[in-house]
Amino acid sequence: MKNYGIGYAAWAILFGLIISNTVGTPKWVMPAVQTEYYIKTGLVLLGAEILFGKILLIGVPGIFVAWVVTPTVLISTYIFGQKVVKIPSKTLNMTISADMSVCGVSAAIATAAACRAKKEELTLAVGFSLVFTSIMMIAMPAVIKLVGMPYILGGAWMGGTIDSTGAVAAAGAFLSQRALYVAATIKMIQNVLIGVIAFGVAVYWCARVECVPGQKVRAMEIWHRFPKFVLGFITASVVFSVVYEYLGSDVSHALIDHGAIRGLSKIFRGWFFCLAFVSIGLATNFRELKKYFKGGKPFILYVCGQSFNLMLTLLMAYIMFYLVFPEITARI
Amino acid sequence: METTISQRGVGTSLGLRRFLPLAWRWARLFLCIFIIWAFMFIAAPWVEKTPAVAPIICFIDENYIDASALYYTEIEEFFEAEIHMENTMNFAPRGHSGSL
Repeated sequence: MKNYGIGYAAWAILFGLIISNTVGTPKWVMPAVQTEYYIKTGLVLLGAEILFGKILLIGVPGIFVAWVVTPTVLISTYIFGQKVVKIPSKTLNMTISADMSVCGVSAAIATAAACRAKKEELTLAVGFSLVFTSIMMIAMPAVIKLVGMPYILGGAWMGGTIDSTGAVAAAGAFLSQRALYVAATIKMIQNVLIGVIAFGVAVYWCARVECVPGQKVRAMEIWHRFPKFVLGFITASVVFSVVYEYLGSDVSHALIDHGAIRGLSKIFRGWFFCLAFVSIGLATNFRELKKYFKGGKPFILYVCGQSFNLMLTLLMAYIMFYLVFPEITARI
Repeated sequence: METTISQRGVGTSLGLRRFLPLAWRWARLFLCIFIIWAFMFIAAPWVEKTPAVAPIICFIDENYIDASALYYTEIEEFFEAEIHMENTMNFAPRGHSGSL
């Protein structure tokens, strides 16, 4: 099932949901259902994997495609959800917007934790991401081949739009090696954006959403409300990024990429996220999920946001790789 | 002591009444497991054989790509792409002006 982009996150939620909604979650398990603890610990560990130096890998085109389009789509989708679709829950709106525009499940976890979304909202966002990732991973390379789009443009397009990181690698590699390199680089730059998005959402929620309308919030109040795990997440990211740059490329690849990250943080982070998803499943009632589907609003939001994402990413990739920086494209 | 429900017109014992919801819950669990099994071993392999899906699924399988990875650090192809991009940006010929 991994080939369809269905990994441990989906199975963990699914089996948790099945147990809790059929035979019921055993009482002796309940003390271990600590969703918030697992998510926050996993996110701080994920912080170590967010290395800011990677954003310069492909120069200005990469920054524009991943760091300009993505926040634009995120903010536009959130406003669209509030003003047009009228999603009742702001946290659900933000979680789906981040999940769709940044990088799927990992962005959904970070954003949901930063804005204190409900576990059912995270489940819904993850579900959408998995379904659309599977479809886009199969459909996009086919469309690119069908219309005869240049593979570098296609790679940049897929890297900026397919939610799941794994699916980007699969779709890019299926197209061509050059498409894989561009798609993977764009996605990597976009992955790094998670830290900035989580921080921005946490600040926005404390300063603007969780306050009385029209009332000015003092800095101390923002500090008290601010989810402190985000600081751990950002600190881990900054420390590892600085050490990475200080050590230089070759030593960093060996010590940070292959040592600290792949040998330690990635493994523990995976287990913490897995436990978090099992906990979400074990503590969720199907009936609680039903109300979120009312009027198909989350679906409309996802489809509209993703359509806008597809158009804007393609346009920006074309402008950057073929009009402004064709010499970079020629060298890839 | 077992209380009969017949007084309430149900016509079954309390023991059976307790047993039925429990049996129903276990039946639902097995039903869910059966649906997952059917999805994994009947529906997914069938979809895999369709002309639109078969090429990419075969490709992913043959190249051991983890299409379900959540983050770039979980995929070998991303490290390969990073090294390629670094080398391209640093060492590839830049033309006469020497500028990007």
